Amino acid sequence: MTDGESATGGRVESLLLNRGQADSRRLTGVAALAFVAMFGLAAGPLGVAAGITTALVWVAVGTPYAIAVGHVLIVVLYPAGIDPVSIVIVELGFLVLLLTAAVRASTPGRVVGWTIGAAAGLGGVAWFGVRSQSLWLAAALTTGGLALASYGVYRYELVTLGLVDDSKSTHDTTENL
Amino acid sequence: MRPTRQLWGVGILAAVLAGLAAVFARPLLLGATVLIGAWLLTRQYLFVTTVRKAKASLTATQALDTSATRVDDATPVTLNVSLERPRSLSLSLEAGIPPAGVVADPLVVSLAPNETTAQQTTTVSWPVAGRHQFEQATLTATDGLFETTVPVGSTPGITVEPRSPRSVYIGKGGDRRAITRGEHEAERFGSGTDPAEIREYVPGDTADKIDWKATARLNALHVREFEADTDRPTMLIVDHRAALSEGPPAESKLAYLREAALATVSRARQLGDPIGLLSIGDAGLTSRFDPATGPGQYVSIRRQLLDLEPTNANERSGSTDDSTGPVTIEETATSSLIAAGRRPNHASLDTTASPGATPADTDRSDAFVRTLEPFYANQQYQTRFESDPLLGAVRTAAATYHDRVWTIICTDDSDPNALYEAVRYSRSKNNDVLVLLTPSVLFRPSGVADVERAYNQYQSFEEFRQKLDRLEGVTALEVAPEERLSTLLAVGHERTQRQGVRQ
Repeated sequence: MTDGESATGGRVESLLLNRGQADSRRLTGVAALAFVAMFGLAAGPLGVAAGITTALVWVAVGTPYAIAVGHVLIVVLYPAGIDPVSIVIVELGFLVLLLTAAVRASTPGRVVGWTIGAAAGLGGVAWFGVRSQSLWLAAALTTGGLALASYGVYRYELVTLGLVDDSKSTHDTTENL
Repeated sequence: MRPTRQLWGVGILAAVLAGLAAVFARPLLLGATVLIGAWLLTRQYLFVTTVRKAKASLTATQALDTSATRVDDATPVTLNVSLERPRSLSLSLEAGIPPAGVVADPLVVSLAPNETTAQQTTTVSWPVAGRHQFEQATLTATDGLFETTVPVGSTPGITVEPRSPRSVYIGKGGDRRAITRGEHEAERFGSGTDPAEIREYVPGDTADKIDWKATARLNALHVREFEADTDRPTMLIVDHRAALSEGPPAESKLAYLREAALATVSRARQLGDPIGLLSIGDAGLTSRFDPATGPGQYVSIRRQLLDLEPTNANERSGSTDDSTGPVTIEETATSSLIAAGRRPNHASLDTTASPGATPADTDRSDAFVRTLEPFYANQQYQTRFESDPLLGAVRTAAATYHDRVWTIICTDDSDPNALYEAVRYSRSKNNDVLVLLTPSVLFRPSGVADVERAYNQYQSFEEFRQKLDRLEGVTALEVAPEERLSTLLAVGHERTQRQGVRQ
């Protein structure tokens, strides 16, 4: 178990979003209730059960696994699919789970902005893929877009921390001159 | 930036959900991939910005107590890290100790989340001489999902000096004296470069000697004379018998005498004087360079001096040569000049501590000894002597070089009678003699702890040195560690003062 795992009690979460344990528990409870309510509103009694299961996974394991479990449960419980309004409500419920952690950040606004922006960006790519192309391509575009964006942040890190060694390129340029 | 195992799990989960969405034709599952992706990107960005702020507010120092040390000494190194304000990151800092530094455990300090300062000190030993620059300390930051490593802080340096005599004193009874001679008067004219005088032209002078300016000024032919270049042949006789190994590691009698001999060679090279070398082991001559000039000669002698190690005391008793006096027959008998291949500064070879030890007695189970032994087994004595090696060397020098030669004998006071005889023999050949003597009392393992007793022994040495010095054409100087000698001389000074008060 890494330091991060021990500090977050086994949940998959960044140490940076794990401050204020007492406040955190209260906030988690409120967010879980809101999430279950939204699930119930969108999918009825079965939705409440699915919401409770998802909330438990969220508390125990972390947000990514809760998102995965919640979506799989919806798909399993409603093989014929649910109407678009219900989908929006369910997804808003998941967004509540996503944004709850942002409150614990030192700059919550920035975290919320990044979360919504990233969700919108990736969602747009996925939406574009689903609407105009096949679902396979949409899946590939979404995962590819995610990998590309993650690589972009990685390159940003190298530059901002001064880890890019540009002496070789400077040397080459000088020689060419 | 490296993802942790937890993050790999999340990434795989997002990809699997995307795959399931395509396989089961359920776009809703793609929504899960989108939300997990948003979660991941947000954490990644948050981590980068926090590390950037932490790096900006972090002060890391690698502090050394000293900027210079000696080989194999241990120096404390302190790694200090402080943050201006607490961060939620888990930070650890590893010192950038150079490869030449040896530490038992890596020097690492850790800062748990919300801690602001940490410090750790360890000792680093330096087995390699030279200038060693620390690398920047390595900061490793993690938030449980990502981990990154960034170099931070200053890069101090340390100079590691080889072990050698710290401060070599050469003099008489506390007064420093120079052992090397300066330029010397030729007292005759010749083809030198230093102008000597202008004189009137006499028949027989060559035209190229005419000084035309003086001729014009004096209205008569004048020639300019130059001082002739002269040589002062020097013969270094360096004793490296077992007794010369006495002293702390790399600060033995031989080490001090070596410094003096090297200075002599250096000066001879500056003046272009011919110089030769006879090195004496316990059984005879170990190397022989007849006086000569030229860069090759100076380099060879210098290299030989640097290679000298004390020989084994048992070599002499093991000699079967029954000739008398100096023996000039080249022998090929092998000799382990360095017993069992160990350098004398190592604890396993101490010929003075165990004079009865033979090479066979040394620890042959040591792989280091077994590996080096063949290389040293072929070293040979050039000439073996039945009589005292020092006297034999002086006789050899006199026999091979018939001109007047400045003989410099570097030895200790362990056999004063033999030394006295050797000096007298050299003087009988009309050679000037300089004796560089190391007082054994200043090299004893016990040091000068019992200063009163040590001073008495030093007085005996000083009497012998003065006896040598009183011989015509002989200069006897002592070569010693300055600090120890000062301690002894201070005792002598106090004793003299006490005696003065009583009277």
